[in-house]
Amino acid sequence: MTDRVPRRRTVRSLAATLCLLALAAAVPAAAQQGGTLRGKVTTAGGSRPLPGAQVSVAGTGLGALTSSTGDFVIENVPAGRRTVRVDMLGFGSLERTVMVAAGTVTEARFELSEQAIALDQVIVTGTVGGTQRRALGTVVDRISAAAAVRTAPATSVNQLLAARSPGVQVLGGAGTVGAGSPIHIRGVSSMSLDATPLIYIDGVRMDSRLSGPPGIRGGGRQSRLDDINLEDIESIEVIKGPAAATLYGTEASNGVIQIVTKRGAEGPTQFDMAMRMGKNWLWNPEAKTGWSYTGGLGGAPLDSVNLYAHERDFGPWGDPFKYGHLEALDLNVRGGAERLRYYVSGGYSNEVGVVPYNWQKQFSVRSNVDAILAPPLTAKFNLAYITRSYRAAQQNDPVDAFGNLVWGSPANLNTKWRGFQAAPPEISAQIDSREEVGRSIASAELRYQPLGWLISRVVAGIDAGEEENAVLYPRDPDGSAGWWGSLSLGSKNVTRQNNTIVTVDFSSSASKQLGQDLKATTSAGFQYYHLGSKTLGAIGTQFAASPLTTVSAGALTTGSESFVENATVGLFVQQQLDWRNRVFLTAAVRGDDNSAFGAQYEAAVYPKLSAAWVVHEEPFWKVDWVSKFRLRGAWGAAGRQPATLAAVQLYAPVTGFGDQPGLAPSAIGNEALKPERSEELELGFDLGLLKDRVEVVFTHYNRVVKDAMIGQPLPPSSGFSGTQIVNLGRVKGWGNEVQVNARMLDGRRIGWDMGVGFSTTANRIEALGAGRSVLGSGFSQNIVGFSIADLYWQKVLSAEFVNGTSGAVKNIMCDGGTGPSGREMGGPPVPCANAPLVRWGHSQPTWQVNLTQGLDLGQRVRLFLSVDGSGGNWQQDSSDPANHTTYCSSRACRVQDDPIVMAYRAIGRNPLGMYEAGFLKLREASATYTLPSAWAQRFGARGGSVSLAGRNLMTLWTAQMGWDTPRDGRVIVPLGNGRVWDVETRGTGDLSTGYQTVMPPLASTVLTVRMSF
Amino acid sequence: MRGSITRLCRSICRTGTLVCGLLAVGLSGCNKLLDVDVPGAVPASALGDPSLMASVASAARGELECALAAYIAGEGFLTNEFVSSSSFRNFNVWTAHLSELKTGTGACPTTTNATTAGFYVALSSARFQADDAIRRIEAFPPEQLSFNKTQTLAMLAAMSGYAHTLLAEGFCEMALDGGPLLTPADVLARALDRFTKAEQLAQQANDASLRNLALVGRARVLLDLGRKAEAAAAAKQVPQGFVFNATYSTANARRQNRVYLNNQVNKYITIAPEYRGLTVGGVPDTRVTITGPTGLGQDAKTPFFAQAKYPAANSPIPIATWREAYLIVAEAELGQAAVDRINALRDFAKLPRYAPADVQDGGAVLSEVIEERRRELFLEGHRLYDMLRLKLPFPTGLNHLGEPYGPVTCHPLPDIEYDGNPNLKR
Repeated sequence: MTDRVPRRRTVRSLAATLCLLALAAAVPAAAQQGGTLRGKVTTAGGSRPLPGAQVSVAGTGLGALTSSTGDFVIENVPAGRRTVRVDMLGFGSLERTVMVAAGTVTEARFELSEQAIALDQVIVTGTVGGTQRRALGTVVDRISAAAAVRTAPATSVNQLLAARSPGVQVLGGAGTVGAGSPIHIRGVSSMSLDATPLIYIDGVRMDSRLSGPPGIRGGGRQSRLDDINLEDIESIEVIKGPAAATLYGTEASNGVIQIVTKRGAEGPTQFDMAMRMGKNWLWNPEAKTGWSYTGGLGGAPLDSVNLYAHERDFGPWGDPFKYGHLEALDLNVRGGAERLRYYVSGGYSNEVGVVPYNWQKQFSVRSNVDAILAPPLTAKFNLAYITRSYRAAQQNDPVDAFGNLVWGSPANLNTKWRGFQAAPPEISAQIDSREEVGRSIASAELRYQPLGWLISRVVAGIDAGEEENAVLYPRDPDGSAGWWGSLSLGSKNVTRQNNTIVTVDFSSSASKQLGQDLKATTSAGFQYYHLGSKTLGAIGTQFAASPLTTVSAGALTTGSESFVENATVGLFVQQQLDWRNRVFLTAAVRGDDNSAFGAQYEAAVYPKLSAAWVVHEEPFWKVDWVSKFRLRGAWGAAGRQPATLAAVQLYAPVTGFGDQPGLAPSAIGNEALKPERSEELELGFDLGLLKDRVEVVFTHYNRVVKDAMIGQPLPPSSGFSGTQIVNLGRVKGWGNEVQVNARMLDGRRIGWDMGVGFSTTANRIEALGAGRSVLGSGFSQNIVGFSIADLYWQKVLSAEFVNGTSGAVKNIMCDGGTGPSGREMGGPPVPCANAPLVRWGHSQPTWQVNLTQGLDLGQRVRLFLSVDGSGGNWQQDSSDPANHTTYCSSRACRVQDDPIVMAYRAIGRNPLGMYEAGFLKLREASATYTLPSAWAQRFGARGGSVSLAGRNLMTLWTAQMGWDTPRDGRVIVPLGNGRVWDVETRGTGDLSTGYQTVMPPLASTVLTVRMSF
Repeated sequence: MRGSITRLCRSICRTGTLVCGLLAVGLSGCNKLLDVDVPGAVPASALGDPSLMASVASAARGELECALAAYIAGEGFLTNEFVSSSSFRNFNVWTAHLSELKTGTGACPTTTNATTAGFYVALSSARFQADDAIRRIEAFPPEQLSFNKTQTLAMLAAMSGYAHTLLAEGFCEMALDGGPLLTPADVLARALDRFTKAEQLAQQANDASLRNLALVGRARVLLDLGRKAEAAAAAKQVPQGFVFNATYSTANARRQNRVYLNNQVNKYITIAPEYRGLTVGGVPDTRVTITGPTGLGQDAKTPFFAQAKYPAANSPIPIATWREAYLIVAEAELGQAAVDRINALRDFAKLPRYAPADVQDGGAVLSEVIEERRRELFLEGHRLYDMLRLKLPFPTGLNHLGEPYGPVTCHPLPDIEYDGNPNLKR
């Protein structure tokens, strides 16, 4: 035992030395004579240790973070009566007085209660210093990322955010490792702009786009949000709507997500390591593939095969879908003293998908420093660098193993295609579609508080990233007679994009006590954001030889360059009144001007009013079983800016006659263009029952989007193509969100906690401009009286075969529509030529649910389960109609004995492949074991844990098939007996209505080992 | 481009917020914060600069060239000059589904392997650009322009005339400049105006080539309108050997010959059986040289046949030729005049001469003229309107993939025009 202690100290000393060198700063040692404070921090009842809790000794600058076993040691604590404070995100704070004697070890144990409604928690709100939750008129969720990753198998920010806050939807996606997903907060509210919330990291705006290689298949784009290393995140705050996001201005009506990274803590240097290993796989591909058919037509014998099974059993390369491994190593060191604290980290991950050429590698480093420069001036410096490499599983159609399988046919089974549609998997694997990212995010915050009532802060930061996206088709030895036609002559398409986002944010607050009960706080601020995006593209085609892979190797080369710039300036002022720390009234106004506004539009002004009342702290409150009760309400506005150049009429350069330079109309512009304006009323309450063992957070919101931008289609006869963005729309939205957390058992040997979150969201288009009630003519339309991007198509009711019992049909009758608009289903049968496109359903989810269960056993084992789902919408797997028509590999196409399928083939095939997209999935399951100290010390560590977790393990329910749905996630579409591989598959578009041959989500298991030194 | 913090301050101060107003005033010196550059495009407000007009004119002519190739690469599905050998849906619905065809827009493709077929946007854009360029250039005195104003206006008027003509020949109905529904005859009348103007301007500019281009265009429109005598009169002024080509190059995908790309390179289309192995008097018809089958098309199903008329990405496509002028005269006058014109063409192609049993048999001669047009003007964008105006039968039954041919003859006006044009009602 004794020989281990110095080794641990050696590790810590080495780490501290590294940090000192890195930071070029000395951490003053606490060298006072005193005693040692040692203890443990656990959940209430003591069933679960709490790692990462901050323990500090007031007035000494001493402190420590708890290890993975919840233990802490603080040495050299000055003798005497000391106040010890423990803070833990999601658990509130606890203070206790402890007597420390010189030269002795004092033991102290702290038990914290989990709190979703920590009223004194400071929330980032846009004003300097933030605001206590009790004063907010809106709901703001804070996700403790550091705690979540200890038990959840999430490997990206997208996965972490999914189903952890009611109303926040991370929308499905693809089974491509490295691919991201769109994030929506409270559904969609815009008909033409994306629904992505604003994302800040440590106070500066960050790039969170989805991007990918040229021509990438719908589900394969990466999310720039996922560049952030999960292990570096302390917490994520979700600000949900315009009423809460008013101070963020013109780009904030989709909500705001604030990412707060980990920081140094007072106390001895702590060294943490997390190591992950795991596997990705595709559930049950044989059942999902089903049968592909040939023959049948013209009396030919019907033949069928399960292409996946055939390839697995007889193909030269075996199973087309393998187990992909994942591995990651994260190290961080943190510590410091009162005047200087640091957090330094490095992380590496490597993940491989179910086709071996799909992988993602990421390396990141971060350094966060907190310093008291010259009291009252304090500073925070944050610097992160990330590199990320990604190779996609699916390039464009038909270049991937999955799509070629879905669209395969037994007709080609005994050819070089081996049944695959355009090429067998090893040929698809030759197409190299990848993205390389290098990105730096740096910020500095200076905070100055010369007087107790006056505080100012300035944050300046930059997010500078470079993406290189490329797709390479090597030259085929057979040239254009190769697999990919002209592309087989060799082709490389490269784009290199530099994005720079600059943030400057100044704000100041002054407080004054007005009498005994009333306190007034005035805040004002200025923000400046600048986005610059430069893209260079190069394409080379027709390579002279197979080994050549550079753009310049092409006989034909082209280049392109684009530059987009956008700037926003905002000002705000806010007045808050605080009566006895129980009643809070806030009024604010923010004004924005933006380079994207039309020349004829002045500026956007967004007001806000909010109120909160902490009822249970009123003297009259005598309801013992209601331990917490707060009412809140807010009304506020925020906006969405137009696209950068949407207001300007432009002529773009083209190659004209004789390859001479030309100028051609490219965008019609709109000089009167202004931002979309969202106004929202939010009402809710926070409730704590039975001494906060049960907590309920409920919110209702009503939103109206005025000046909604719509892409008014331009008639091609006008000479301009595409759309003109005009502020003619009006959309109403509403919804409810409820989160219930309960500590069911709170014992020392067993603890049981559960949480249920449920949210609904809805919207209705109120106006589309004078004389217009319909926007769009295709499958997805915006129609007054219905929701954004609802799905419309003719509904076939009956059809008769022209001859016998198969083949072409006649007398096709469709739903004639009913309801005020004539667009609802249920109308009389009419000939389809005269039938309206009737509404099939919403394309976007209208409800979302998540259920978590945590079980703590014997202070060392935690079992965790989460189930989540969403629904209320339809999706279309448009791979399916292609199998019923173009590729004709479905039985329905080959036998032609289903008159309804034949009818859709005749009038338009969109409904083939449509299904109700609601589902419930067992998303995460994990078991975490906290190592006994003695075990950890064998590795020279203070503590450690081992966690085994699974993700996407089972589908429990689907709206299409109920509780009997196959557990692997597939659903059967009754129309034509089509197969959808996974109910959750989705394209990455914001208003995506469907997808085509997008690889379904993967399942994974992860083993995580964490050690603290 | 825009932006003013002063303006922002004014707006905020209107709310009566004194503190913010004071802050805003303090910042009013920072107006440049909102200045942004647009280095990749020219705002329309800058087109008052005469030095930009050469580029505007060049773009307009280039657009017509691109639109013509797109038109030929699309209308051939209906005329059975070629059939789809592509697995891409956009090519396979072309003959089958009216409703899906209406959702196609047909802009000039910008990639070599573009999987769309259609030409409404391309033709509309070409028409607008030509008329827009004429309007802008007419506003400048000749001395401010770096080119021959009259000659350029003649060229642009002819381009506008051809864009109008192809719109009228290809679509059942159409609109111009967001206006009301027009018939093909309405638009042909406008095309005639453009060609007349082009001929006059070319005459003034002493440019014989442009004048002949306008004359062939005028003759074509007059024939379309059934004004045969006037058509013949215009066509007779065109000398033998005259050719005015749309030019293509390998500069970029948009400038490449789309017919060549879709056939030889992408193998999206294969030449239809009706054009394979054609002979004249037992001699292979060199005007419709087809090779194949050489493997399968892109769909890996359909035997691939290649045309030889456009053998490269930069092969020019004739816009107007003496051959067309001769056939217009032949059709308008029939009789010996037709026989002579046909034989002039056969001689030029080194093919056996045409000797009708009865030169006065109008029906027989007309049939021969129609067949000569089918071959002589193969893949030049004439066949569709020939079938429409001469009421020739369109393919029926099942196509080579077993899909039924749809009801499409002339193209329906795409939905996008109805969606955006306030003067149209469905």
